[in-house]
Amino acid sequence: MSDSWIYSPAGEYLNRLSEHHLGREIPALLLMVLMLVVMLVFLAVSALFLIWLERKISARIQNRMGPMLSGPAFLRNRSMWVGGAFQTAFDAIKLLLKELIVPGRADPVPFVLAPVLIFGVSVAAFLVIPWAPALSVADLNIGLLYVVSVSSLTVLSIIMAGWSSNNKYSLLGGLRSAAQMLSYEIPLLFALMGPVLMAGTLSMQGIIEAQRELGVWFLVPSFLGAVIYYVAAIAEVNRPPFDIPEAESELVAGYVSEYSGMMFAMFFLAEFSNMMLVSAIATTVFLGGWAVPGFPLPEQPDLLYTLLGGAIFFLKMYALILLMMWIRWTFPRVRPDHLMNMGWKFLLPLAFVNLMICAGVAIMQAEARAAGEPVSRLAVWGIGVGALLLIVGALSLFREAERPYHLIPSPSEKV
Amino acid sequence: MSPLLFYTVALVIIVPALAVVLSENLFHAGLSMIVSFLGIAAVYLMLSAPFVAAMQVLVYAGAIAVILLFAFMLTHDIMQPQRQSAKFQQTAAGAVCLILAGFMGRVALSSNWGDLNRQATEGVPLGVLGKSFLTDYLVPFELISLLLLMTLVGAIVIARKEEKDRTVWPEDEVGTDS
Repeated sequence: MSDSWIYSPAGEYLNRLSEHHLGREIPALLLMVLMLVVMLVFLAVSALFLIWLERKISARIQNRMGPMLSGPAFLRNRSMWVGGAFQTAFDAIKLLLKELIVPGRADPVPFVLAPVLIFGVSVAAFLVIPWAPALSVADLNIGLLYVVSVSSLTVLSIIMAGWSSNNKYSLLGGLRSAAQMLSYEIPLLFALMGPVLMAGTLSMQGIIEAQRELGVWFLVPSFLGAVIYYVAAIAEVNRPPFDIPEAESELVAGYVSEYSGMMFAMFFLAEFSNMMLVSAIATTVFLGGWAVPGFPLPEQPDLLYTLLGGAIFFLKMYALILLMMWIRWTFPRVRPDHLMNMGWKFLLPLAFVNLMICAGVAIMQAEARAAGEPVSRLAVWGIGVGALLLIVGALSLFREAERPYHLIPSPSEKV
Repeated sequence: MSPLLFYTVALVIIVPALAVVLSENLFHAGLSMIVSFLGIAAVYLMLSAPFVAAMQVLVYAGAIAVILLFAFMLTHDIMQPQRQSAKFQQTAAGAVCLILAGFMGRVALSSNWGDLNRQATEGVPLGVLGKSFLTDYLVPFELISLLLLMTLVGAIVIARKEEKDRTVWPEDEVGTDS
């Protein structure tokens, strides 16, 4: 098997370290296991932190304190941001100790496999995320496609959970989720296609590199694409306002209704790690990843630059995550038919328009490359802002002229 | 490519494929099909075609099989194991399978494996693949999209039949914003 398309910067770094200190390379299998374990621990700890953050942010938005009592006494009666800092850790321990209950009439194999699959898929998708200049577990040349294709299996585990629970609420949740995730995958893919066109590569590090070369984040020429991606991504991770598959008021907890203990925790962990995943992809594709304009890249990426790059990446990623939480606690849940209408009739056509704009920029890049001169940043900004203004103008005209109400029959009309 | 890995993957393809046909539980059959699809993706990976592998996962395992399971969930009363296919269906299916196996056996026997093996392990860059789709293989590429369009139109035609007896829910008439 040729290894040219699998390149692991992190693995290479570890190998160099090991050669320097121990005098030999780490065996490939051990290296793989090592990196997987690091990834797993990182994701689990981040998810614990994010759950705590989500609870505190929801509390702040609703003028409450959130969890304040658990943890050491000296942290109590201080700011709401330190009280109850250990809440999710204790929750995790409680969930670990709980009995795993498989309902008697459930289909046991898919029932147990579903939570494993959903978390496994999300861990697998993280392998290509470029955390810092030379820090990604694997730098595949089909990186972005890999993430998208692997995470398309998430819906499968939700269907498995919904069906095998043998519960009508679970089944309805799984059904809704399958419809929602399949529909929103399409605008999501088209929104990502524009930046890929401009970068000319699917490799995650390559996309960051292309943005550094252009001198402008892909957010500028493809602002529309970024917004479409973000909306579709929120729908993909089933978070409010698109949490229709697990709408508490109608479906108990949707496809997770029958799960208990650690199996439930796996779904919960997967939700939060998927949230990180989509934010990390958005950071890479639209926000320039670990780079900021004016961030100089050294010849040999050393530890300082890796840490700095990682910090910048995390800053951007957490900004997107916070935005997602803010949206969650601000908007009410969307109705299923509105959701479908928005995905197919609004986001998808807009994604096509965005693709055309990006293709324009890509042509400009190709011409500049042929002429041997750098792409004018001003032109990219011009295209981005101009196209955005045009689209917003056209949409507002369209909305004034044709409110969608005409699609709905008036009370007097018989259909 | 190590033979042990290949035979493992081959088992991962064949055993679930048999389960698809033999399982009495339709939902299990659908899940087995996905495992089989993933195994095929692994074969593409071993042939140095990561792009095709990713597409296999995205399109077959992630979309087509999921739509299939989705259809199971919507279908009423599909979990009856006693639902047997007719005798003539079984005979016809067996005949088609035999013919297909014959064709594939012929292709397998007449291929020059050494040559193909060398080509396969070299791999093709993504750009070359894209270019050949839009130049040398433009007609088949477009024909496939036409096929998909036909399926889409067919699905809509079938689905629209129920339009006549659609009822209007009172909630739909008021308070629908956006």
